Amino acid sequence: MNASNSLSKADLLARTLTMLSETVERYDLFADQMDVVNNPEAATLFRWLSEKQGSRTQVVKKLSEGLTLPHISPWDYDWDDAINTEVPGHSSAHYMMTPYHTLSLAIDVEQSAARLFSEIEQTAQTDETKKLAHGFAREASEFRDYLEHKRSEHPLPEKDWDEDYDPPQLLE
Amino acid sequence: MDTVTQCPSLKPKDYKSGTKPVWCPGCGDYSVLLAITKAMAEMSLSPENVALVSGIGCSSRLPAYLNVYGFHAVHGRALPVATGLKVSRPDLTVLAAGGDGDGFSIGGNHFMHACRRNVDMTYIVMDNQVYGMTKGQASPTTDPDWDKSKLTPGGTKINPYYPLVIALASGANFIARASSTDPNGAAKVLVDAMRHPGFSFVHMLSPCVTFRPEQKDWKKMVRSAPVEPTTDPAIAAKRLMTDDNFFLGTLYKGDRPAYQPELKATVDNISELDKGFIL
Ligand SMILES: Cc1ncc(C[n+]2csc(CCOP(=O)(O)OP(=O)(O)O)c2C)c(N)n1
Ligand code: SF4
Ligand SMILES: [Mg+2]
Repeated sequence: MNASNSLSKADLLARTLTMLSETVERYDLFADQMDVVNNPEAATLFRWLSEKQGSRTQVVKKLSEGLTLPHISPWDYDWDDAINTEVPGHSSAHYMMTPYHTLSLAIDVEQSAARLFSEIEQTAQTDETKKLAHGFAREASEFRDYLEHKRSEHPLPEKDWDEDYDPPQLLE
Repeated sequence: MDTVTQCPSLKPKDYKSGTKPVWCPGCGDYSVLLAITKAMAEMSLSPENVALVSGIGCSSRLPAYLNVYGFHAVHGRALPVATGLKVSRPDLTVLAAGGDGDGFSIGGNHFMHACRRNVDMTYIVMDNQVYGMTKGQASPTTDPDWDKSKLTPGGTKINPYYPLVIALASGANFIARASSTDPNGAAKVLVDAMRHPGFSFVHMLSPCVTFRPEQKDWKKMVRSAPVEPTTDPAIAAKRLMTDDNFFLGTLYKGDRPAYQPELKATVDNISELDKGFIL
Protein backbone atom coordinates (compact mmCIF):
# COMPACT_ATOMS: atom_id res chain seq x y z
CA MET A 1 0.00 0.00 0.00
CA ASN A 2 1.32 3.44 -0.87
CA ALA A 3 1.36 6.24 1.64
CA SER A 4 -0.82 9.03 0.39
CA ASN A 5 -1.05 12.55 1.68
CA SER A 6 -4.73 12.89 0.92
CA LEU A 7 -6.02 10.02 3.07
CA SER A 8 -9.09 10.80 5.11
CA LYS A 9 -9.76 9.05 8.40
CA ALA A 10 -12.22 6.72 6.63
CA ASP A 11 -9.68 5.97 3.87
CA LEU A 12 -7.02 5.10 6.40
CA LEU A 13 -9.38 2.90 8.40
CA ALA A 14 -10.58 1.12 5.26
CA ARG A 15 -7.05 0.43 4.10
CA THR A 16 -5.93 -0.71 7.53
CA LEU A 17 -8.92 -3.01 7.88
CA THR A 18 -8.30 -4.58 4.49
CA MET A 19 -4.64 -5.03 5.29
CA LEU A 20 -5.26 -6.54 8.72
CA SER A 21 -8.04 -8.87 7.64
CA GLU A 22 -5.97 -10.10 4.73
CA THR A 23 -3.08 -10.76 7.10
CA VAL A 24 -5.35 -12.71 9.46
CA GLU A 25 -6.57 -14.84 6.54
CA ARG A 26 -2.99 -15.42 5.40
CA TYR A 27 -1.83 -16.52 8.87
CA ASP A 28 -4.81 -18.89 9.11
CA LEU A 29 -3.96 -20.32 5.71
CA PHE A 30 -0.30 -20.75 6.67
CA ALA A 31 -1.38 -22.51 9.88
CA ASP A 32 -3.53 -24.91 7.86
CA GLN A 33 -0.67 -25.52 5.45
CA MET A 34 1.69 -26.31 8.31
CA ASP A 35 -0.84 -28.81 9.70
CA VAL A 36 -0.89 -30.58 6.35
CA VAL A 37 2.91 -30.81 6.15
CA ASN A 38 3.18 -31.89 9.80
CA ASN A 39 4.99 -28.81 11.07
CA PRO A 40 3.10 -28.26 14.36
CA GLU A 41 5.48 -25.61 15.76
CA ALA A 42 4.96 -23.29 12.81
CA ALA A 43 1.21 -24.07 12.75
CA THR A 44 0.82 -23.09 16.41
CA LEU A 45 2.74 -19.86 15.91
CA PHE A 46 0.71 -18.89 12.85
CA ARG A 47 -2.52 -19.50 14.80
CA TRP A 48 -1.24 -17.30 17.61
CA LEU A 49 -0.27 -14.58 15.12
CA SER A 50 -3.69 -14.78 13.53
CA GLU A 51 -5.36 -14.33 16.93
CA LYS A 52 -3.21 -11.30 17.73
CA GLN A 53 -3.89 -9.73 14.35
CA GLY A 54 -7.57 -10.64 14.73
CA SER A 55 -7.89 -8.63 17.93
CA ARG A 56 -6.25 -5.64 16.27
CA THR A 57 -8.79 -5.99 13.46
CA GLN A 58 -11.60 -5.83 16.04
CA VAL A 59 -10.16 -2.63 17.48
CA VAL A 60 -10.00 -1.00 14.05
CA LYS A 61 -13.56 -2.15 13.35
CA LYS A 62 -14.66 -0.49 16.57
CA LEU A 63 -12.94 2.74 15.53
CA SER A 64 -14.83 2.54 12.22
CA GLU A 65 -18.27 2.17 13.76
CA GLY A 66 -20.75 4.65 12.35
CA LEU A 67 -18.48 5.59 9.45
CA THR A 68 -19.07 4.57 5.85
CA LEU A 69 -15.76 3.25 4.67
CA PRO A 70 -14.87 3.64 1.01
CA HIS A 71 -14.60 0.56 -1.15
CA ILE A 72 -11.03 -0.29 -2.11
CA SER A 73 -10.37 -2.41 -5.17
CA PRO A 74 -7.50 -4.89 -4.86
CA TRP A 75 -5.50 -3.00 -7.46
CA ASP A 76 -5.70 0.19 -5.42
CA TYR A 77 -2.99 -1.40 -3.29
CA ASP A 78 0.44 -2.13 -4.56
CA TRP A 79 1.63 -4.65 -2.04
CA ASP A 80 3.03 -7.54 -3.93
CA ASP A 81 3.76 -11.14 -3.09
CA ALA A 82 7.00 -10.45 -1.33
CA ILE A 83 8.12 -10.55 2.23
CA ASN A 84 8.67 -7.06 3.66
CA THR A 85 5.22 -5.91 2.72
CA GLU A 86 2.32 -5.33 5.06
CA VAL A 87 0.65 -8.60 4.11
CA PRO A 88 2.82 -11.71 3.96
CA GLY A 89 2.97 -13.14 0.44
CA HIS A 90 1.96 -16.73 -0.22
CA SER A 91 5.48 -17.52 -1.34
CA SER A 92 6.92 -16.72 2.09
CA ALA A 93 5.78 -20.05 3.55
CA HIS A 94 8.02 -23.10 3.44
CA TYR A 95 7.11 -26.57 4.62
CA MET A 96 10.28 -26.88 6.70
CA MET A 97 10.18 -23.40 8.19
CA THR A 98 11.23 -23.16 11.86
CA PRO A 99 9.68 -20.98 14.59
CA TYR A 100 12.55 -18.58 13.93
CA HIS A 101 11.49 -18.21 10.30
CA THR A 102 7.83 -17.90 11.25
CA LEU A 103 8.54 -15.07 13.67
CA SER A 104 10.93 -13.41 11.21
CA LEU A 105 8.17 -13.35 8.63
CA ALA A 106 5.82 -11.66 11.11
CA ILE A 107 8.55 -9.21 12.17
CA ASP A 108 8.99 -8.15 8.55
CA VAL A 109 5.24 -7.62 8.24
CA GLU A 110 5.13 -5.40 11.36
CA GLN A 111 8.26 -3.54 10.33
CA SER A 112 6.77 -2.79 6.97
CA ALA A 113 3.43 -1.73 8.48
CA ALA A 114 5.20 0.55 10.98
CA ARG A 115 7.14 2.19 8.15
CA LEU A 116 4.00 2.69 6.09
CA PHE A 117 1.97 4.21 8.95
CA SER A 118 4.85 6.54 9.85
CA GLU A 119 4.96 7.75 6.26
CA ILE A 120 1.22 8.33 6.34
CA GLU A 121 1.56 10.20 9.64
CA GLN A 122 4.23 12.47 8.20
CA THR A 123 2.32 13.33 5.06
CA ALA A 124 -1.22 13.43 6.48
CA GLN A 125 -3.17 16.64 5.92
CA THR A 126 -5.49 16.41 8.91
CA ASP A 127 -4.74 16.00 12.61
CA GLU A 128 -7.27 13.21 12.78
CA THR A 129 -5.47 11.08 10.18
CA LYS A 130 -2.08 11.99 11.62
CA LYS A 131 -3.10 10.88 15.09
CA LEU A 132 -4.62 7.66 13.89
CA ALA A 133 -1.60 6.80 11.74
CA HIS A 134 0.68 7.60 14.68
CA GLY A 135 -1.21 5.14 16.86
CA PHE A 136 -1.11 2.41 14.21
CA ALA A 137 2.63 2.95 13.65
CA ARG A 138 3.32 2.73 17.37
CA GLU A 139 1.28 -0.44 17.71
CA ALA A 140 3.09 -2.10 14.81
CA SER A 141 6.51 -1.15 16.22
CA GLU A 142 5.61 -2.40 19.69
CA PHE A 143 4.39 -5.69 18.30
CA ARG A 144 7.53 -5.98 16.17
CA ASP A 145 9.69 -5.47 19.30
CA TYR A 146 7.71 -8.09 21.15
CA LEU A 147 8.12 -10.55 18.28
CA GLU A 148 11.84 -9.87 18.19
CA HIS A 149 12.03 -10.69 21.86
CA LYS A 150 10.05 -13.87 21.30
CA ARG A 151 12.26 -14.84 18.38
CA SER A 152 15.37 -14.50 20.54
CA GLU A 153 14.10 -17.50 22.54
CA HIS A 154 14.51 -19.68 19.47
CA PRO A 155 17.80 -20.90 18.01
CA LEU A 156 19.05 -19.53 14.72
CA PRO A 157 18.21 -22.01 11.95
CA GLU A 158 21.03 -24.20 10.68
CA LYS A 159 22.57 -23.12 7.37
CA ASP A 160 21.00 -26.07 5.55
CA TRP A 161 17.64 -25.90 7.34
CA ASP A 162 15.72 -26.52 4.12
CA GLU A 163 17.72 -29.54 3.05
CA ASP A 164 15.29 -32.43 2.74
CA TYR A 165 16.89 -35.86 2.94
CA ASP A 166 13.77 -37.39 1.42
CA PRO A 167 13.12 -34.78 -1.27
CA PRO A 168 9.97 -34.70 -3.37
CA GLN A 169 11.71 -35.60 -6.62
CA LEU A 170 10.87 -37.96 -9.39
CA LEU A 171 12.85 -41.14 -8.74
CA GLU A 172 12.81 -43.62 -11.53
CA MET B 1 -22.78 -4.66 16.92
CA ASP B 2 -20.79 -4.33 13.74
CA THR B 3 -21.92 -1.20 11.92
CA VAL B 4 -19.03 -0.97 9.46
CA THR B 5 -20.37 -0.45 5.95
CA GLN B 6 -18.28 -1.75 3.10
CA CYS B 7 -19.28 -2.78 -0.37
CA PRO B 8 -19.51 -4.99 -2.32
CA SER B 9 -21.51 -7.21 -0.03
CA LEU B 10 -19.60 -10.44 -0.73
CA LYS B 11 -15.97 -10.52 0.33
CA PRO B 12 -13.33 -12.56 -1.51
CA LYS B 13 -13.37 -15.17 1.24
CA ASP B 14 -17.10 -15.72 0.70
CA TYR B 15 -16.20 -17.30 -2.66
CA LYS B 16 -14.06 -19.95 -0.97
CA SER B 17 -15.62 -23.33 -0.27
CA GLY B 18 -13.97 -23.98 3.08
CA THR B 19 -12.17 -27.05 1.75
CA LYS B 20 -8.54 -26.58 2.69
CA PRO B 21 -6.13 -26.59 -0.26
CA VAL B 22 -3.44 -29.26 -0.22
CA TRP B 23 -1.00 -27.42 -2.46
CA CYS B 24 2.59 -27.22 -1.20
CA PRO B 25 3.25 -24.21 1.03
CA GLY B 26 4.62 -21.45 -1.21
CA CYS B 27 2.87 -22.72 -4.37
CA GLY B 28 1.74 -19.93 -6.71
CA ASP B 29 -1.69 -21.50 -7.06
CA TYR B 30 -2.76 -20.11 -3.65
CA SER B 31 -2.40 -16.59 -5.02
CA VAL B 32 -4.32 -17.48 -8.15
CA LEU B 33 -7.18 -18.75 -5.99
CA LEU B 34 -7.05 -15.48 -4.06
CA ALA B 35 -6.98 -13.41 -7.26
CA ILE B 36 -10.02 -15.26 -8.62
CA THR B 37 -11.99 -14.67 -5.42
CA LYS B 38 -10.99 -10.99 -5.43
CA ALA B 39 -12.09 -10.63 -9.04
CA MET B 40 -15.45 -12.29 -8.32
CA ALA B 41 -16.02 -10.08 -5.27
CA GLU B 42 -15.10 -7.00 -7.26
CA MET B 43 -17.69 -7.93 -9.91
CA SER B 44 -20.22 -8.80 -7.16
CA LEU B 45 -20.94 -12.12 -8.90
CA SER B 46 -23.50 -14.37 -7.29
CA PRO B 47 -21.78 -17.72 -6.66
CA GLU B 48 -24.78 -19.60 -8.04
CA ASN B 49 -24.32 -17.83 -11.38
CA VAL B 50 -20.71 -18.86 -11.84
CA ALA B 51 -19.13 -22.15 -12.88
CA LEU B 52 -15.48 -23.10 -13.00
CA VAL B 53 -14.41 -26.16 -14.97
CA SER B 54 -10.93 -27.63 -14.69
CA GLY B 55 -8.86 -30.51 -16.00
CA ILE B 56 -6.36 -32.55 -13.99
CA GLY B 57 -3.23 -31.34 -12.20
CA CYS B 58 -2.33 -29.42 -9.06
CA SER B 59 -3.75 -26.23 -10.56
CA SER B 60 -6.88 -28.08 -11.68
CA ARG B 61 -7.85 -28.62 -8.04
CA LEU B 62 -9.29 -25.10 -8.05
CA PRO B 63 -13.02 -25.94 -8.27
CA ALA B 64 -12.88 -27.78 -4.94
CA TYR B 65 -11.73 -24.62 -3.21
CA LEU B 66 -14.37 -22.30 -4.61
CA ASN B 67 -17.94 -21.77 -3.58
CA VAL B 68 -19.22 -21.56 -7.18
CA TYR B 69 -20.39 -24.45 -9.36
CA GLY B 70 -17.40 -26.58 -10.25
CA PHE B 71 -16.51 -29.51 -12.43
CA HIS B 72 -13.21 -31.36 -12.22
CA ALA B 73 -13.11 -32.79 -15.74
CA VAL B 74 -10.88 -35.36 -17.42
CA HIS B 75 -7.23 -34.44 -18.09
CA GLY B 76 -7.04 -31.84 -20.87
CA ARG B 77 -10.79 -31.63 -21.31
CA ALA B 78 -11.79 -28.57 -19.30
CA LEU B 79 -12.46 -26.52 -22.43
CA PRO B 80 -14.96 -28.80 -24.20
CA VAL B 81 -16.90 -29.21 -20.95
CA ALA B 82 -16.86 -25.45 -20.30
CA THR B 83 -17.88 -24.78 -23.92
CA GLY B 84 -20.85 -27.13 -23.65
CA LEU B 85 -21.88 -25.53 -20.40
CA LYS B 86 -21.68 -21.97 -21.67
CA VAL B 87 -23.58 -22.56 -24.91
CA SER B 88 -26.36 -24.35 -23.06
CA ARG B 89 -26.41 -21.92 -20.12
CA PRO B 90 -25.34 -18.56 -21.55
CA ASP B 91 -26.65 -16.88 -18.40
CA LEU B 92 -23.74 -18.33 -16.37
CA THR B 93 -20.30 -16.76 -16.03
CA VAL B 94 -18.09 -19.63 -17.12
CA LEU B 95 -14.41 -20.02 -16.33
CA ALA B 96 -12.08 -22.84 -17.26
CA ALA B 97 -8.77 -23.39 -15.51
CA GLY B 98 -5.84 -25.76 -15.41
CA GLY B 99 -2.12 -26.12 -15.90
CA ASP B 100 0.30 -25.89 -18.79
CA GLY B 101 0.36 -29.68 -19.12
CA ASP B 102 -3.41 -29.97 -19.01
CA GLY B 103 -4.02 -27.08 -21.38
CA PHE B 104 -1.14 -27.27 -23.83
CA SER B 105 -0.14 -30.97 -23.96
CA ILE B 106 -3.08 -33.31 -23.73
CA GLY B 107 -5.54 -30.43 -24.10
CA GLY B 108 -3.59 -28.51 -26.75
CA ASN B 109 -5.98 -29.28 -29.55
CA HIS B 110 -8.98 -28.15 -27.52
CA PHE B 111 -7.15 -24.92 -26.72
CA MET B 112 -6.76 -24.02 -30.39
CA HIS B 113 -10.35 -24.78 -31.23
CA ALA B 114 -11.75 -23.02 -28.17
CA CYS B 115 -9.86 -19.90 -29.32
CA ARG B 116 -11.34 -20.32 -32.82
CA ARG B 117 -14.84 -20.93 -31.55
CA ASN B 118 -14.78 -17.83 -29.36
CA VAL B 119 -17.45 -18.84 -26.87
CA ASP B 120 -17.83 -16.23 -24.13
CA MET B 121 -15.72 -17.59 -21.27
CA THR B 122 -12.40 -17.05 -19.51
CA TYR B 123 -9.63 -19.63 -19.60
CA ILE B 124 -6.91 -19.37 -16.95
CA VAL B 125 -3.79 -21.45 -17.49
CA MET B 126 -1.57 -21.58 -14.42
CA ASP B 127 1.80 -22.02 -16.08
CA ASN B 128 4.67 -23.41 -14.00
CA GLN B 129 6.46 -24.96 -16.96
CA VAL B 130 6.22 -28.40 -15.41
CA TYR B 131 3.85 -31.25 -14.64
CA GLY B 132 3.63 -30.59 -10.90
CA MET B 133 1.10 -33.21 -9.92
CA THR B 134 3.00 -36.12 -11.48
CA LYS B 135 6.23 -35.03 -9.78
CA GLY B 136 8.12 -32.81 -12.12
CA GLN B 137 8.24 -33.71 -15.81
CA ALA B 138 8.81 -31.23 -18.63
CA SER B 139 5.73 -29.63 -20.18
CA PRO B 140 5.27 -27.84 -23.52
CA THR B 141 6.33 -24.50 -21.98
CA THR B 142 9.50 -25.86 -20.35
CA ASP B 143 12.77 -24.39 -21.60
CA PRO B 144 14.63 -26.87 -23.83
CA ASP B 145 17.67 -26.98 -21.52
CA TRP B 146 15.82 -27.74 -18.26
CA ASP B 147 17.44 -31.02 -17.27
CA LYS B 148 16.13 -31.71 -13.78
CA SER B 149 13.73 -34.48 -14.76
CA LYS B 150 15.13 -37.93 -15.29
CA LEU B 151 12.67 -38.40 -18.13
CA THR B 152 14.43 -35.71 -20.17
CA PRO B 153 18.14 -36.00 -19.37
CA GLY B 154 19.96 -33.01 -20.86
CA GLY B 155 16.64 -31.22 -21.34
CA THR B 156 13.87 -31.69 -23.88
CA LYS B 157 15.94 -29.91 -26.53
CA ILE B 158 12.71 -28.95 -28.26
CA ASN B 159 11.19 -25.59 -28.88
CA PRO B 160 8.82 -24.43 -26.15
CA TYR B 161 5.19 -23.67 -26.97
CA TYR B 162 4.16 -19.99 -27.02
CA PRO B 163 0.59 -20.03 -25.76
CA LEU B 164 -0.17 -16.36 -26.32
CA VAL B 165 0.98 -16.46 -29.92
CA ILE B 166 -1.05 -19.61 -30.54
CA ALA B 167 -4.09 -18.03 -28.88
CA LEU B 168 -3.85 -15.00 -31.16
CA ALA B 169 -3.31 -17.04 -34.32
CA SER B 170 -6.26 -19.24 -33.40
CA GLY B 171 -8.68 -16.38 -32.79
CA ALA B 172 -8.89 -15.78 -29.02
CA ASN B 173 -10.66 -12.48 -28.42
CA PHE B 174 -8.73 -11.38 -25.32
CA ILE B 175 -5.14 -12.25 -24.41
CA ALA B 176 -3.44 -11.28 -21.17
CA ARG B 177 -0.73 -12.37 -18.79
CA ALA B 178 -0.89 -12.15 -15.02
CA SER B 179 1.27 -13.50 -12.25
CA SER B 180 0.60 -15.17 -8.94
CA THR B 181 3.38 -13.01 -7.53
CA ASP B 182 0.95 -10.07 -7.79
CA PRO B 183 -2.52 -11.35 -6.87
CA ASN B 184 -4.02 -7.86 -6.83
CA GLY B 185 -2.79 -7.11 -10.35
CA ALA B 186 -3.97 -10.57 -11.42
CA ALA B 187 -7.44 -9.81 -10.03
CA LYS B 188 -7.61 -6.76 -12.30
CA VAL B 189 -6.66 -8.79 -15.37
CA LEU B 190 -9.28 -11.41 -14.47
CA VAL B 191 -12.01 -8.79 -14.13
CA ASP B 192 -11.10 -7.41 -17.57
CA ALA B 193 -11.05 -10.93 -19.02
CA MET B 194 -14.45 -11.87 -17.60
CA ARG B 195 -16.00 -8.61 -18.80
CA HIS B 196 -14.67 -8.96 -22.33
CA PRO B 197 -17.01 -10.83 -24.69
CA GLY B 198 -15.81 -14.02 -26.35
CA PHE B 199 -12.97 -16.33 -25.44
CA SER B 200 -10.53 -14.68 -23.01
CA PHE B 201 -7.21 -16.34 -22.39
CA VAL B 202 -5.23 -15.46 -19.25
CA HIS B 203 -1.71 -16.83 -19.10
CA MET B 204 -1.08 -16.95 -15.35
CA LEU B 205 2.51 -17.41 -14.21
CA SER B 206 2.32 -19.58 -11.09
CA PRO B 207 5.58 -20.97 -9.69
CA CYS B 208 5.92 -24.60 -8.66
CA VAL B 209 8.17 -24.18 -5.62
CA THR B 210 8.69 -27.92 -5.29
CA PHE B 211 9.86 -28.99 -8.74
CA ARG B 212 10.92 -25.61 -10.13
CA PRO B 213 12.23 -23.79 -7.02
CA GLU B 214 14.16 -21.36 -9.22
CA GLN B 215 10.77 -19.91 -10.26
CA LYS B 216 10.66 -18.09 -6.92
CA ASP B 217 12.74 -15.49 -8.77
CA TRP B 218 9.83 -14.76 -11.09
CA LYS B 219 8.61 -12.14 -8.66
CA LYS B 220 11.72 -10.12 -9.49
CA MET B 221 11.36 -10.70 -13.21
CA VAL B 222 7.72 -9.85 -13.91
CA ARG B 223 6.80 -6.29 -14.86
CA SER B 224 3.87 -4.43 -16.33
CA ALA B 225 3.83 -4.35 -20.12
CA PRO B 226 4.52 -0.73 -21.08
CA VAL B 227 1.73 -0.80 -23.68
CA GLU B 228 -2.01 -0.40 -23.91
CA PRO B 229 -4.09 -3.38 -25.06
CA THR B 230 -4.35 -3.35 -28.84
CA THR B 231 -7.32 -4.36 -30.98
CA ASP B 232 -5.07 -4.83 -34.00
CA PRO B 233 -4.00 -8.47 -34.43
CA ALA B 234 -0.94 -7.44 -36.48
CA ILE B 235 0.36 -5.21 -33.67
CA ALA B 236 -0.51 -7.92 -31.16
CA ALA B 237 1.36 -10.54 -33.21
CA LYS B 238 4.54 -8.50 -33.17
CA ARG B 239 4.10 -7.79 -29.48
CA LEU B 240 3.55 -11.43 -28.57
CA MET B 241 6.30 -12.76 -30.83
CA THR B 242 8.87 -10.52 -29.13
CA ASP B 243 7.52 -11.05 -25.62
CA ASP B 244 9.94 -12.45 -23.02
CA ASN B 245 7.23 -14.23 -20.98
CA PHE B 246 7.36 -11.75 -18.09
CA PHE B 247 5.31 -8.81 -19.34
CA LEU B 248 2.06 -8.57 -17.43
CA GLY B 249 -1.25 -7.03 -18.39
CA THR B 250 -3.83 -7.14 -21.14
CA LEU B 251 -2.01 -7.44 -24.43
CA TYR B 252 -4.80 -7.91 -26.96
CA LYS B 253 -8.53 -7.14 -26.98
CA GLY B 254 -10.31 -8.29 -30.12
CA ASP B 255 -13.76 -7.38 -31.32
CA ARG B 256 -15.03 -10.63 -32.83
CA PRO B 257 -18.58 -11.48 -31.80
CA ALA B 258 -18.83 -14.37 -29.37
CA TYR B 259 -20.15 -17.68 -30.68
CA GLN B 260 -23.51 -18.55 -29.21
CA PRO B 261 -25.81 -20.93 -31.05
CA GLU B 262 -29.50 -20.28 -30.82
CA LEU B 263 -30.95 -22.29 -27.98
CA LYS B 264 -33.81 -24.64 -28.69
CA ALA B 265 -36.17 -25.72 -25.98
CA THR B 266 -35.53 -29.36 -26.87
CA VAL B 267 -33.27 -31.08 -29.34
CA ASP B 268 -35.05 -33.47 -31.68
CA ASN B 269 -32.12 -35.73 -32.35
CA ILE B 270 -28.38 -35.90 -31.78
CA SER B 271 -27.40 -35.11 -35.37
CA GLU B 272 -29.28 -31.82 -35.08
CA LEU B 273 -27.20 -31.01 -32.03
CA ASP B 274 -23.99 -31.95 -33.89
CA LYS B 275 -24.69 -29.43 -36.63
CA GLY B 276 -24.46 -26.57 -34.17
CA PHE B 277 -20.84 -27.45 -33.49
CA ILE B 278 -19.58 -27.74 -37.07
CA LEU B 279 -17.29 -24.82 -37.81
C1 LIG C 1 -5.42 -39.22 -19.44
C2 LIG C 1 -4.38 -38.90 -18.42
N1 LIG C 1 -3.08 -38.89 -18.75
C3 LIG C 1 -2.14 -38.58 -17.85
C4 LIG C 1 -2.49 -38.28 -16.57
C5 LIG C 1 -1.42 -37.98 -15.55
N2 LIG C 1 -1.35 -36.57 -15.23
C6 LIG C 1 -2.01 -36.07 -14.16
S1 LIG C 1 -1.75 -34.43 -13.96
C7 LIG C 1 -0.71 -34.37 -15.30
C8 LIG C 1 -0.01 -33.13 -15.73
C9 LIG C 1 -0.31 -31.96 -14.89
O1 LIG C 1 0.44 -30.86 -15.30
P1 LIG C 1 -0.17 -29.42 -15.35
O2 LIG C 1 -1.43 -29.42 -16.13
O3 LIG C 1 0.89 -28.50 -15.81
O4 LIG C 1 -0.63 -29.14 -13.85
P2 LIG C 1 0.24 -28.77 -12.54
O5 LIG C 1 0.21 -30.01 -11.73
O6 LIG C 1 1.62 -28.39 -12.96
O7 LIG C 1 -0.51 -27.65 -11.94
C10 LIG C 1 -0.59 -35.65 -15.89
C11 LIG C 1 0.23 -35.92 -17.08
C12 LIG C 1 -3.87 -38.28 -16.25
N3 LIG C 1 -4.30 -37.93 -15.03
N4 LIG C 1 -4.78 -38.59 -17.18
S1 SF4 D 1 3.93 -29.74 -6.78
FE1 SF4 D 1 4.28 -27.66 -7.53
S2 SF4 D 1 2.37 -27.08 -8.60
FE2 SF4 D 1 1.92 -28.85 -7.30
S3 SF4 D 1 1.17 -27.99 -5.35
FE3 SF4 D 1 3.37 -28.34 -5.13
S4 SF4 D 1 4.31 -26.39 -5.69
FE4 SF4 D 1 2.21 -26.35 -6.48
MG1 LIG E 1 2.11 -27.27 -14.73
